[in-house]
Amino acid sequence: MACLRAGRRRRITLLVALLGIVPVTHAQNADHAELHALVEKGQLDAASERLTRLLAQSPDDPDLLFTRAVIAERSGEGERAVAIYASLIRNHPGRLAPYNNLAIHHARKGDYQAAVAVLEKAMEADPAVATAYANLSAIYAQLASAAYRKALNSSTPLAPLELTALDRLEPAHGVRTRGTPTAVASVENTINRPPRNDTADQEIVLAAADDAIGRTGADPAQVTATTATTEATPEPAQGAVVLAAAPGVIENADEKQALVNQVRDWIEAWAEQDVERYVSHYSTNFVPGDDLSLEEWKQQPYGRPPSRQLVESKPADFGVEMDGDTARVSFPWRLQSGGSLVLRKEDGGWRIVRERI
Amino acid sequence: MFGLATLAGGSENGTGPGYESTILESVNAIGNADIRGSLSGIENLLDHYPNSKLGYLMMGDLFAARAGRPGLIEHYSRDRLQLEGLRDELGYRWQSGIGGTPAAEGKLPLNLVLSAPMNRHVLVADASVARLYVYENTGAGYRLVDDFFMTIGRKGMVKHVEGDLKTPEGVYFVTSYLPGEGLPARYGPGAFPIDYPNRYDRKLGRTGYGIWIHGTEPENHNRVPLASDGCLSLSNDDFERIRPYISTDGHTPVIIGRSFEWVDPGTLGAANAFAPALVRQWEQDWESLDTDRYLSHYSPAEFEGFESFAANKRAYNRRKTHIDIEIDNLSIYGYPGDQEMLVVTFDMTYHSDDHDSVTRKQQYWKRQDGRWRIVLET
Repeated sequence: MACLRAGRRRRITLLVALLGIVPVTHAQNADHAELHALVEKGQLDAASERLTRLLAQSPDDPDLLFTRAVIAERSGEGERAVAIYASLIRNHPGRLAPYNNLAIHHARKGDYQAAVAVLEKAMEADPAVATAYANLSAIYAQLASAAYRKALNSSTPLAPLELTALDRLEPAHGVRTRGTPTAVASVENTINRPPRNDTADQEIVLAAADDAIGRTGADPAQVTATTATTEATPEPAQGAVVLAAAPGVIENADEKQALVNQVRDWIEAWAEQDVERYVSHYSTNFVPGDDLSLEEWKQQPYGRPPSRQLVESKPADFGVEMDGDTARVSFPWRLQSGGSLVLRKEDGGWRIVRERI
Repeated sequence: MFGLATLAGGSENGTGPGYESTILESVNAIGNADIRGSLSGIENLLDHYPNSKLGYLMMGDLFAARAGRPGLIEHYSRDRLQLEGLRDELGYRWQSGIGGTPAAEGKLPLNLVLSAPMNRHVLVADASVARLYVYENTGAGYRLVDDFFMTIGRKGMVKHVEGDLKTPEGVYFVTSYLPGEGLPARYGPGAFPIDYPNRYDRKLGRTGYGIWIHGTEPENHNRVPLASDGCLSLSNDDFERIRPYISTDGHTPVIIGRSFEWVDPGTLGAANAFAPALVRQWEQDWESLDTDRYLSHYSPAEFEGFESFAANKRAYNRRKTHIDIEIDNLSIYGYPGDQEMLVVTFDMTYHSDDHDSVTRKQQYWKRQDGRWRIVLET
């Protein structure tokens, strides 16, 4: 039971972290504190006595009822506990602890299906939790996919990662809807990505991320839907976040192929230190960073040699996402992380406007 | 915890964590519902062995489990053989790691009849568990000193003809060493050729050549269980580990079988005691100049040219008053496979009225109709 209590505390802590808010709790008066202390010390008879007195004063207090169920469970009155949990779930569907304990009750009896059903219901009970849970699962699925591709030398492209942002800090009272899927983002090749230290690098990545979540001035031509986010939205700090494809984007295989060919030419020029050819792939709007002007950068454009993974990459390793006149080409960079370029169509050709490597 | 005892025994080289032990500890962690621990073990593995396809598969499985999408791999597994191969590899490694193989239980293959002192190690390749065992000949028995996951031919066993992509079954000897610098990259750091086709293979008309023990191409940590052209392939780390156990002067036997009969070490000697006795009897019968008794050790049906061999012996022995034979460095290995057969090698010193010689002899003894007889001799 100690484990169970610890688990509950963790769950609640997790919820607080996920929601980014302090849950509104009823007044934790001294009586409640003493009651919980008795239960934790295992003095169930004394706790029960105290509880009976407190319940006489506030018979509908969910914290007291829950404690009643916990004591009942630990005193071998499982059915009584189940009845209380069920009534708590009915009357306070947004409180998750009763689901948790009810699920454990089912699992102890070997009824794992019922336990899973109750826990799934708990995840659905709070829109923020449900959304966070679904997003977490989606990211895990993406990480799994990236690993599978490596395990099986698969050329099947990664499916776009669809995450759901929330548009309210708290759900409207009594309304039980899920967050609207307002942003579709794609995170690539993040398996084992080390923590990013390079601030300049991060800024380049987050420029796109900021756009996507509408925190900075969004370019309406690029953002399909701005999102009023809550702090609950997982920050896309890791991996490159790409803007959703605009409606009506026509998949153009030839164009994508041409992009891959161009980026491969860029790699080749880089590897061969062919300055003129290398620089020709960049837009006049490219910002080199390090406080260099474009002209200064063109004098000595390579900060470092291309990585082995990049030089040895094959056409199948490239991912291309297009959105009108903007395209993003991703490729292997380090063993376990990728790099990418953002290119824009200028004068009929694609030119690099941002790079992340 | 499962007993991962045999892993701990294998002293894996390098500064990184042991490859197989790290994988199996991660599997073990899954068994203990420690998904986080399992994942961090795999991440550690991939840091040190970034070409581990199996590591990525396990990482994918762990993430897929956390995502609640166990079937996700279907999107990426166009190559069923590669996926099944990786799953099989993990199964084989696990089976061996938890002591689920007879070798891991401390049993010995019945094939280890007798080893001359210079045969310091005997390699036993058990295809049924994708494992290559190194047995040390201690002089008083055999000790398992190391063992490795191995890859055999992509069509499995048993090799019959050139190009069939199968691994031969039999008793072989390492003949030489080919350094990796002179070989295509897919062989890794080097290769130890074995003497396939041996005399028995040639008698059966089996063809092909170039069966080696070798490493792996640089893009892969190792290959899946069935992936070579017929060779025994190891990871490059394991190839370096096995290198010191192999001699290239014909004194490292390699017994390759689809399966083996395993016995307790205490019973191995008694079970095989008949075999040296056969050779001693053959020796005595030759020395006795009783040509009929001597010839009774040979198979009239299978020994090639038996009639002329018998006639020559009769004529030859009639001219002798004494023959004295000494047998040294006797080695006997049981042949894997369907027939009951022994491969016998020894150095023979021969003295007679008019002839002295020292020769290296090899005999194949086969059990037919309840009697052991020589079917091949050189």
